[in-house]
Amino acid sequence: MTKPVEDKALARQIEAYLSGQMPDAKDLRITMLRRLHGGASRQTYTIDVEYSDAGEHVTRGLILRRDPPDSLIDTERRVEFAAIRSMEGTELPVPKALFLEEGSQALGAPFFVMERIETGVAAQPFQLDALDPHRESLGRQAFRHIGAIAAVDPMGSPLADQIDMPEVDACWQCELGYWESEIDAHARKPEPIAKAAIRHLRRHPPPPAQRLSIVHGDFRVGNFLHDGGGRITGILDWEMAHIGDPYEDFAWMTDMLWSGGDLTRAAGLVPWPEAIGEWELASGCKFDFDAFEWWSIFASVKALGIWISSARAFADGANDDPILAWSGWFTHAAHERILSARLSAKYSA
Amino acid sequence: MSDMAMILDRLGTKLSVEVSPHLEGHYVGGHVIMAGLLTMMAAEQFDGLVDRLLSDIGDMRTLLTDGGEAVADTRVRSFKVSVVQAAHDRLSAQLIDMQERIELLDDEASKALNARIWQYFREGAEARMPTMPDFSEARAAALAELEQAGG
Repeated sequence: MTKPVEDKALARQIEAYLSGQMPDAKDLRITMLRRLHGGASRQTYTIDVEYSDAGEHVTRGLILRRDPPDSLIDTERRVEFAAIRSMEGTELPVPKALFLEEGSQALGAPFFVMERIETGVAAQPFQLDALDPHRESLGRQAFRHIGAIAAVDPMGSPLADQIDMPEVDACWQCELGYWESEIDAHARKPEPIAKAAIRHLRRHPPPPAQRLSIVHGDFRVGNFLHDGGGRITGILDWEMAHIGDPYEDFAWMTDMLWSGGDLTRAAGLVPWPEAIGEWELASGCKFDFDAFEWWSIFASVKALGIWISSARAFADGANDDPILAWSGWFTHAAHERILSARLSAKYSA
Repeated sequence: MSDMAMILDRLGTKLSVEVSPHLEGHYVGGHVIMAGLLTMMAAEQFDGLVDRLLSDIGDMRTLLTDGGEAVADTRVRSFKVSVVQAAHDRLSAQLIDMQERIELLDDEASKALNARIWQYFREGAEARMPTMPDFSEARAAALAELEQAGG
C-alpha cells in the first residue's frame, strides 16, 4: 500500500518552491507525491497539487524531474527543458515545461517542473505484442512525430540558445566523437566491438545532413505514452536532445533492441515503406539508405556508450539504481550482439 | 546447474514473483523486480562464466599469434573469475591494437584475419548474451491473488 505523499519533507520543500513560483496560488498544498521507477537519468516524481486561484479551487498534476547523484545520461536539465519548450506551438504531444531551477537550494539538486500528461501509459519496449491491435497505428504516428520534430526549425529555438549548432557536414563527427569519448572515459574493461564499430563508422562517413534539425535523442518505444486506443498522447524523456542530423532519431527508433527482433517492420511496429513515408512527409526530408545505414550502426554504438556509462556509475557507487546494472549487462550484451552480427557480415571473407 | 546457480535462480524468482507484487506501485518495487532479474541472469551465467572466458582466451591467443603478435603469457594459474577476467582483458586490449593495425592493410591475409576477428566478436557476443527471464505471467497471477485477498 503506497502513501499519497511518500516523502513529506520533500513535499514541503516543493510546496514552498511552487508557492514562490505561483504567487496567485493561495493555500497551495501537495496531496500526492510519488517517485516513478525507471529512467535513471532523472529522479522523476508525479505530484498532485491543490490551491485556490481567484477563489477557485484548482487541482493540477505535475511532474518533477530532479538530477540524481549520477545518471544514465550526463546532460544538463536546462537542455531538456529548452528542448521541450522548443516544441511549443507544434502539434506534437509534449508536456508543458513550467519551471527550471538550476541551483540546489530549493530541493538539494537542480530540477525542472512540467505539467503531467493525464492520459496514457508508457509502452514496454520488450513487449511490443501488448500494443496489438494498435501497433501499426502507433508506429505510423511515432514516425510522423519523429519527422515533425525534425521539421521544427532549430534556428532561434530555445534549444539553440543552450547548445552548439554543428555544421551540416559535421553532425556525424560531433556525435561519434562525443560517444567515443564517453566510452573511453567510462569503460571498465576493453571494448573491442565498440572500438571496431567506431573505426568502421569513421572510415565510412555518411553524406552531410540534409539540414540541421532538432533531434530528440531517445525517441523509441518506452519513451512515449499511448492511450490504449491507438493514439500517442505524450513524447517524454528529452534529456538527450540536441541539434544534428534528422536521421539520428529515425535510426535510434528502429534500433534492433527496440524492435522486438522483428526486422520486417520498422521498430517492430509498422512496415518499413509506411514508416519511411510518414517520416518523409512530416520532415520534408528524403530517405537515403546509405545515410540511414550509417546512423543505424551509430545508434548501436551510442547505446553502448550509454550502457557502459551506466555500468561505471553503478560500479563506482555513484548511483545504486539496479536498472544501471541491468543496462550495463543485459542491454550492453544485446548491443554487442547486434553490432557484431551486422559488422561481421560486412567483413566476412 | 550448480548449487550456487540453483540458489541464485530461486532467489531471483522469489524476489520477482513473490516479493515484488507486495510493493506494487511503490518506487522500491521497481528495484526489487530489477534485483530479481539480475539475480536470475547471474544464476544463468554463473556455471559457464570461467569456461567462456577461457575459451575466449584461447581464441584470442590464436588470432594474435596468426597476426604476428608477441602474445603475453596469459596462462591461467588460478581459476578465480577476477584472475581469468584480467587475463582476458589484457588480450582484448592487444586484440584492439592489432585489429586497428590490420584494418589499414589491403592484402588478402589481413582482410581474412579481420574477418576472423569479427567472427570471434560475433560468437563471443552470442555466448555472453543472457536470457531475458520471463516471469510476467507468474507475477500477474501473484498480483491477482493479492488483489483477491485484499492485499
